[in-house]
Formats: sequence, C-alpha cells, structure tokens
Amino acid sequence: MLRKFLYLLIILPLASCIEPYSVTVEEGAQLLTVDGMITSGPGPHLIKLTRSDTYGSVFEGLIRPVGNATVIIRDDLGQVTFLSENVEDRGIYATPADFSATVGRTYTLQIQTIDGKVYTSLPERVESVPEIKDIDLKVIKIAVEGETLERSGVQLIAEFDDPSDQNNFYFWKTGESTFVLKTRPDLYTPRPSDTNTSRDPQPKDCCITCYKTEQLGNEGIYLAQDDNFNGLSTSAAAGFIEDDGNRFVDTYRTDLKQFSVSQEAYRFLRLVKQQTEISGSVFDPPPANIRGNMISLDDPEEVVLGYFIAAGEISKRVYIDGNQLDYRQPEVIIPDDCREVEGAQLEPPLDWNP
Amino acid sequence: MRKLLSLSILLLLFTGWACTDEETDSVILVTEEVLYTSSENVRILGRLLTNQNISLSDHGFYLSEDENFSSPIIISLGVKEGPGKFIGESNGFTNSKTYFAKAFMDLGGEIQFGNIIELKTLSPVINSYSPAFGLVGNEMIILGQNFTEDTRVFFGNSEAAITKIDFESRLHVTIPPASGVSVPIRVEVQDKILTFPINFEYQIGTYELISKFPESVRIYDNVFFQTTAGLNVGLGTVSKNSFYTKIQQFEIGSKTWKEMPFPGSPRSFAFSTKNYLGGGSAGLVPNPYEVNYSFWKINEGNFEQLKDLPFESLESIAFESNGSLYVLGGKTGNVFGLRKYNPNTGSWSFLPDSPVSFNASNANFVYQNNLYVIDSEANLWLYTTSSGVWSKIGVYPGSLGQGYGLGQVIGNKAYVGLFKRVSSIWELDLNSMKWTSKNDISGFPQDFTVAHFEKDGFLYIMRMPEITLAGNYPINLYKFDPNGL
Repeated sequence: MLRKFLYLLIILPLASCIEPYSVTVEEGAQLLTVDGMITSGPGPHLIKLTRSDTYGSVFEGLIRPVGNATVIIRDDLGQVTFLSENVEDRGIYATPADFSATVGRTYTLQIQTIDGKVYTSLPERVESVPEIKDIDLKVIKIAVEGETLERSGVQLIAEFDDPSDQNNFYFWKTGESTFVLKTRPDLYTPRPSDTNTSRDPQPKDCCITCYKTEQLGNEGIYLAQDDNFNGLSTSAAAGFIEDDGNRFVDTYRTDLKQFSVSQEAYRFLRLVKQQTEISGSVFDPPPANIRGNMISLDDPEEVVLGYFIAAGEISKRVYIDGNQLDYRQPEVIIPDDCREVEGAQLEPPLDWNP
Repeated sequence: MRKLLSLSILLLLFTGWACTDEETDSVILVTEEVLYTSSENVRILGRLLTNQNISLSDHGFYLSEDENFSSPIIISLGVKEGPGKFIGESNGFTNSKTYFAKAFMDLGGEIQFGNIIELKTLSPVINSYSPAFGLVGNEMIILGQNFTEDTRVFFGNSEAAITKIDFESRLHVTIPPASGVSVPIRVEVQDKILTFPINFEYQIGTYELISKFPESVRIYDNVFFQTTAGLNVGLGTVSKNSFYTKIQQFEIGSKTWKEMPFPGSPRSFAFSTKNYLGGGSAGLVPNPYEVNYSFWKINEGNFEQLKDLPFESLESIAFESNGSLYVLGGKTGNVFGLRKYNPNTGSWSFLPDSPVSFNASNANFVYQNNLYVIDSEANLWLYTTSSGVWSKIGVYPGSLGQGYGLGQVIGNKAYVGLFKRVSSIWELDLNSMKWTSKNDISGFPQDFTVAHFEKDGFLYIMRMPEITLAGNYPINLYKFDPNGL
C-alpha cells in the first residue's frame, strides 16, 4: 500500500510539470500585390497596388495601399502612358480617360515604388473579342442551410459566335448597373433623438420612385475557353445578379462586359476561381500561392502577387423587367424617401431606355 | 524440382531489380521571353530548370546581330546558386535592328546555351511638345517613344540641354538661346533625325535703355503726347508736393531733351492726345481736387487755348478718331460719360454713357479709329465710333496690377501691359485676336509707366518706381523692340 502511494507521489509532480507550448509563427512578408486591367473599352483603366499582410485576425495587420509609385503602361512600340494616383484613394492609379488598349498590341505594366524597386509585368497581348449577340436570363435559386427562404437571383447568359481562327479565353464582368428603386415614404418613422423624441410615424410626401446606380460586387468569376466550342455559336454563364428584394421590383439595367484575355491570364483567373470556391470538401483543390505575371527586376525570385491583364472588351446592355421573372424575393420595404438611399437619384440616367 | 523453381523466382527477382533505372539529373536552360525592347535597351528573361542543387560560376545572355553569335554582346550576371529565373538587361543597341539572344550558363567550366530567340529594337518616334511658345531658360517637355541616352534636341541651330529622360519617352529640356523667332525642333536619336512639323516660337521683345528724364525729379500724374518733333512728357506733380510746370521733349534721332514751356496753368491728372490737352486738377489737395476746366490745342511746339470744358475731367481717357476728340469717363463727374469735341464747330456733344465706368487707369488704344479699352475686370471692350456701339470682345490674359498700363498699336498688333507693379506686356494680334506674351521689362517691382509712345515700329516707354519707394530714382526711357531677340 505504501509503495503504491509512493508511486502516486512520484507521478503527481510530473503531471504538474506540463508547460504551455507557445508557437511563434513566422510573420508573413508584405508582398506587392497588383490588381489591374486595361482593355480596349473606354478609360480610365485602374491599377491597384497594395501590400499583403499576415493572414489571421484583422488585428494582425492591414492591407496597405502602395502610394507615390511611378506607374506606366508601355506598348510593344514603346508608347508610354503615365498613370496618375487617385489622391483620395491612395494606391489606385488611373490611366488618362482617353486611353484604351489597342487590339493586337502587347502591353507591359511597369512600377517603380518609392523605395526605388522596379517591377514589370510579362508582356500581355490584347486579343480581339467577338460581339455578344444576346443576353439570356435565367432565375437561379440557391438553398440556404437553416433558412426556409431560398436565395435567388438572375444569371446572365451571353450568346456569341466564337471565332474559329483563334484560341479564345473569355472573362465576363458586369459594369455599372441602375435599377428603379421603390420606397415607402408614407411609412417613415424617424429614429428618436434629442430633438425629436417622438416614436410616431411621420409620413413624407416624397419620393416613391428613384433610380439607384451601383457597382455590383464580387458575385463570382465567370470564365470560359473555346476548347469545346471553337468556331461555334455558343452561350455561357457570364454573370449573376442577386435579388436583394429591391433590385427586381421594377426594372434593372446592367452592362455586361465580355473580355478576351490571354491564356496565361485565363489560367490565373481559373486558379483564383478555384481558390475562392473552396467549400471545405475533401475534393477541393489544396490552397496554393497563385503566381501572377509580375516580376521584380531587382530580384526575379521575389514573390509578387496579382496579375496585370490586358484584354479586348465588348459590352452589351440589358434591361431586366422584374415582372417577367418567374421567381422574385419578397419586396424589402424601405420606409423613407427614396432619395435618402445611397446612390439613388430622382431622375433616370440620360440614356435610360428600357 | 522445387529448388529449381525457387532459384528461378530468385533470378527473376534479381533481374527485375537490375532493370530499375536510376533517376537522371536534368538541367534545362531556357531563354524564356523578351520583357522589354527600346531603341537601345533590351531586357530578357531566362530560367534555369533543374532537379539538382547546382552552382553556376556565371550565367546570363548572349546577344548578336547574327544567328551564329560571331561577335556577341555578353550580359554576364555572375554566380548563380540553384534553379530559378534571371533577368538580363543591356543597352547600347542600335535602333530598328534585328538581334538574336540566347541564355548561357557556365557549369563547371563548360558553357551551355539555351534556345535562341529573335528580337527587334524599336524606332524612335516624336509625338508632341509643350509649351509651343516660351522663354529662354524655361523647361519644355517633349513626348515620344524610344529616346536613347545620347538623344540630342535642337531649337533651330541651338542645342538644348536635356535635364531628364523619363522612361525613354519624355524629354525634359531647357529652352536654349534663340537662333530665330520661330524655329523647328529637331530630335536626334542615334542615326535618326526627327523634326516636328510645327515650329516653336520664342517669347521675344527687347528693351534698350536709351535715356533718362533730363531733370532729377520724380513726376507723377503727368501728361504725355507725341508730336512730329518728338516725345513729350510733363506737367503733373513733383513727388506729389508741387506742380511740375514744364513739358520736356525728347528727340529720338539725336537722343536729346528740350524744355517746352506750357503757357497754361499747371495741373495733374489731365488728359492729353496728339492734338489736345485739358482738364485735370487745379490744386494739389485731394478730396476733392479743385477741377481745372481749361482746354488747349497742341500745334506742334505751340499751345492754343480753347473754350473751357463744359464738364469735369479728372483722369479721363482721351482719344482722337476721324479728326474728333473723345473724352471718356474719369474720376469725377459722370464716370460713364462720353463726350465728343468737334474741332470744326468748337462744340462738345454728349454721347450715350459707356456700359461700365472707365478712367485713365484702364489701358486703352485706338485701332482703325475705334477705341479698345480694358476694364477693371480685364474685359476688353471695343467702342465703334461710327455706330456708337460698345461690345465686349475678349479678356486680357495678363495681370492688371494696380492699373495705369500702356496701350499702343504697331501695324495690326496692339501692345498692352506694364501696369503699375507689373513687368509683363502682351501682344494682341488684331486680326486673329490672339494674345501672346512678350519678354518682361526689368526694373523695380514698384515700377509704373509714366509715359509711352510709338514711333517707327518701336515703343518708347518711361518707367520709374512709385512714390512709396523712397530715394532718388531716374525716370528711365526704354526703347522696346517687340520683335527683338
């Protein structure tokens, strides 16, 4: 019995000797990140320069803009275009408004940072892009776990004739969008304040109908390559506009932009798409660092994130009548003057022609 | 039998073992891509792919005008440890020429090469320059493509200093001394000579100090007029303390001064033209000044008194058109008033008022018998004497300073400027109504124009500092050549 107790006495101090193991994670390098695209469409075209930071808590670090850099775009004939930095939004460099890339020309982006380091992109050739013949609309419903109401939206499907004489890589984005915004000023109830303590409704006389302009956020990356439809008329999913309960109450207008990108740019975008669509499944591709087309001239092995894209662009406008959609979200009531909504104005755009 | 079978299996196993290939070491050198070419610069990307941890004693690129690399330009990047990308850059190439490039590496004393790629250097191009008009010593920007480090820029025959070249596409040059008023701009890049189709124009105009006022006095609020005999300046006050009672005449040919007595009462703020002199203040005490109504006809060296003015005139604008005298505005009485004197009848008529008030502080000139006057907001007004119509026809681009600038006409060009505390003067082409700045006059910042004349294509300008600058300063007489280099 005494021997057992002795063993216990020996073991107990061992248990108390467990010390917490502190892990020192190496701080990530602040890598130059380039996000920029020039197209054959109207300018200005924007190049965004930032520095990456350590992944983790938002308190770990901030993604800082790279300001005061000299940024130029140079074509294969030596024509140089100087970009100017947005003084209100640092790190964003814009081409002159009259600058457009020329189909058939090859462009490089060159950056000289304030510390004297010089970065260049690999040459990017601007390829021609076929016209969008038509845009089909398809209502998409997305089940949401734990919710009875499904999310929904309109998928844009671009129809175009793929040219047979070239290997095409397509990329789509939606441009600036405008929709008829309906609100209920008659239901206006102000938030109680020191000057107005009433909680009673105080209906406003105006205004019910406005036109709200917005830039659609990242609703996915839409890409296609013509391996399976080279030289054929085809259609491809080119965008998605989520129904937020306001957008499709009446009429929604958007410009669908179709880009012809290089094979390397397509590969980069496809990898980014794969990474952003990781759902946690065992079949997902492993997260990986995606190499872009930027190189440091001072140290070619330096990792520079992002990609400089030069693309042919064509745009087509589409008006979507909410009444013709076979499924819409319940209308979200905004109990105020529609002019109070950010981006809304009473008059329609001058070229509003549904 | 069983032993034989076991032996056979063993032999088979040994055979299989022997057939296993060892992994071979592979080293691939790639001349990957031309990153950049210009007239004289080439930047190439190469890559070393290997599964070994190798060490190169040198690596880089060979470039040559022929595919055999008979006399190559070697870009040596030195030692390299392990695989990876490398970038080689070199200048000194000739524009618009085809070159061949291949990567190389020195591995243990053995030089190995990558694939050969072809490249072509670019041609220099000029696009535009700005400004198209300027002054010696100012900076000009020339935009173009593929400028080399040894680029040279000429303005006519004068070579300009290049202070900076941005990205081989933007030249900063200092405008050299003029070899002509309008000169072609020529850019020489290696063996290429490029000339802009539109000439550069120099800002011109020279001032020559030819004389000084003959007396050591500073006169203010004086009159000046031109006669066949010379340039006349006088009356007004001596340093605003006492009247200056004389008129001094400068003879241009002999550059001599002659005193002319004035038979009338002394005065300041009077008006004067080639043939008339009148009005102004009779006393030195302001607020208000005692008005002088006397009116005189100038007959070369003689003065003839006419009937007194039927209106008050203090710092009025006076001009002659078609033989009649016009007196406009002033600082007393009707400041909008326009009066016309008919020398044949000796009578005054009162014309409709001007749309804005004018006085002698507003620069003015007469061209083709019409008055041009610049108001206090720099608007240029035209008064057409035949129709009596006022019209606003432009804006003076220069500084109005504190007023009292000159206005003179030579041919179909008008010259306006040299206001109080302003040293700039502008030329107005009266056909195209285009303003062009001329060279500034030197002097004190406080200088103002005492008198101005035009003779034989030159302006004669008298300047001195205003009264706030204490000391003895002469009234300088300058000869201004608007086309002088």
